[in-house]
Amino acid sequence: MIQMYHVHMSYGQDSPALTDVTMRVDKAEFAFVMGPSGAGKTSLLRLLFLAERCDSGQVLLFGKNVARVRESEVPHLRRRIGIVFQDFKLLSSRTVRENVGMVFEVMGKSRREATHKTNDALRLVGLEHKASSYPLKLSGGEQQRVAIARAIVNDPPILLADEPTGNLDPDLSRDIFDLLCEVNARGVTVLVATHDSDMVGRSQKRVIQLEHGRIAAGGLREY
Amino acid sequence: MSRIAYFPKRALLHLARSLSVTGVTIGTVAVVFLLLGVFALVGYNMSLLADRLGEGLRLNVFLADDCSLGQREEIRKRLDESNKVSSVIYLSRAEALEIFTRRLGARAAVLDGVQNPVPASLQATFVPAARNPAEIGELAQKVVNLPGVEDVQYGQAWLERFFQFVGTSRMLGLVIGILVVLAAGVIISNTIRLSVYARREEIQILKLVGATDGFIKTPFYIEGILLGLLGAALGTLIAWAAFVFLVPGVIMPAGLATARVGVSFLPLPVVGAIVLTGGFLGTLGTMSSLWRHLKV
Repeated sequence: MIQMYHVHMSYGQDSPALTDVTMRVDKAEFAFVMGPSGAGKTSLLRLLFLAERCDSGQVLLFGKNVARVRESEVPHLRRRIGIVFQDFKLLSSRTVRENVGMVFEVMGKSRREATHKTNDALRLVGLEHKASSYPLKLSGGEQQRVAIARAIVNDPPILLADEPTGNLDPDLSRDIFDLLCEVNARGVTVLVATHDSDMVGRSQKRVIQLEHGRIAAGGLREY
Repeated sequence: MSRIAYFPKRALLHLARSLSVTGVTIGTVAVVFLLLGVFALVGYNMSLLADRLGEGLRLNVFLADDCSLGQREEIRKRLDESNKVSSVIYLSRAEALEIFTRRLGARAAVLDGVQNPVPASLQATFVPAARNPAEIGELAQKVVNLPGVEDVQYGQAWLERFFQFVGTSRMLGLVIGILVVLAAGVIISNTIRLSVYARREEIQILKLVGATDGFIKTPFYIEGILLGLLGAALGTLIAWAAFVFLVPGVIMPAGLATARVGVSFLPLPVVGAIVLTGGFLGTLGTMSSLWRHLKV
């Protein structure tokens, strides 16, 4: 589902953010990307949701090399990738329902379909009763649940999460991790970049270790 | 909701959310277009005046007393051949004297006992394209030395001064008009920039969930076009109101325009073009702002 082969990436003249990265995450797999700050976790995720382009190498999503994809194709690829961030990235001027339903606005789907699917997603994350609330009225954990609902509302095959528990206390982190596992159990490929060694330790999931922009361990699954 | 209704709704929502910025922008653009309207109004009325004066332009070819019928017809032929004249009338000495006497009115007695002093003439009027000093002067030069011609007159001095004045005014109006229009474009561009800045978070999130460039940019374009159209319409409306209330009460009695000449407001197609220019500037302003400040 996600493959990278000999990927190099740098930001301008700076030292490379990623060097010769080769990794693979299979369909419906759950994997972590771990490493100290500056190891390249966020850069790796940014490549996957096409916010950055690599200097060389191949980035394959759904079997398609997206490293050289045309700009006009990027939005359509992003609709097949759910993304969750540490800072939630919710719009404070829109209700929970509107934040989640925004995905359908962008896709031009009918209101009926949007409402139906938005309700399903909010039910999955346990926030159906907060649909009319505004994000700033919710706790951090609830806001992250809304962000997850938005990321999965249109059933994307891939879910990427960049430090999804970075702003949450351990109990809430556990809830978010359980939720990500539930999403994964529905067949979604989940890749989580994190510092949270407790969460990783509990999970028994594969860990892709990054150090100084290079894969130190776990890039390819061992069968 | 259909896509067609979605974008205007979002644009109106954004404009309503920043009502003060919207109001200031429309107001400023209106002032700019009021200026443009005033310049257009002055220019338009000057053109009307020039047209009216042009209709009355005559080339008087005074004929020598011994001008034969053959020479007269040759002169008339030269005038006709030029493709500049719309009509040529022959005034005999007797007819010319009759007109002169009529003009003198009560003072016509001065002519009593005097031999007819007025020469016969050919009077040419001009087609619209030839109603300017250069064309008329050129024709005058062609006929002035023909046999049978005594003199040629067309009021050269004042005609040239007037058309020079009209030409300079038009040029000045054009330059000021362009500057004013550019100012409106910059104002709209800055407002859109503020709008982009205020919504940068929303734009970022929309991009992350797969919004296309068009989806993100379209509401901004609608906002820019609306700001331009509304500002231009308001400015033109104020210009019209000022024209209706000020011209009969203030300007006309002040003698800046005479009742004989009259002044008119801009014709509807011109008003439409000015308002559409507002919309066009809104588009350009938005384009420039998005190009500089929105890398989607």
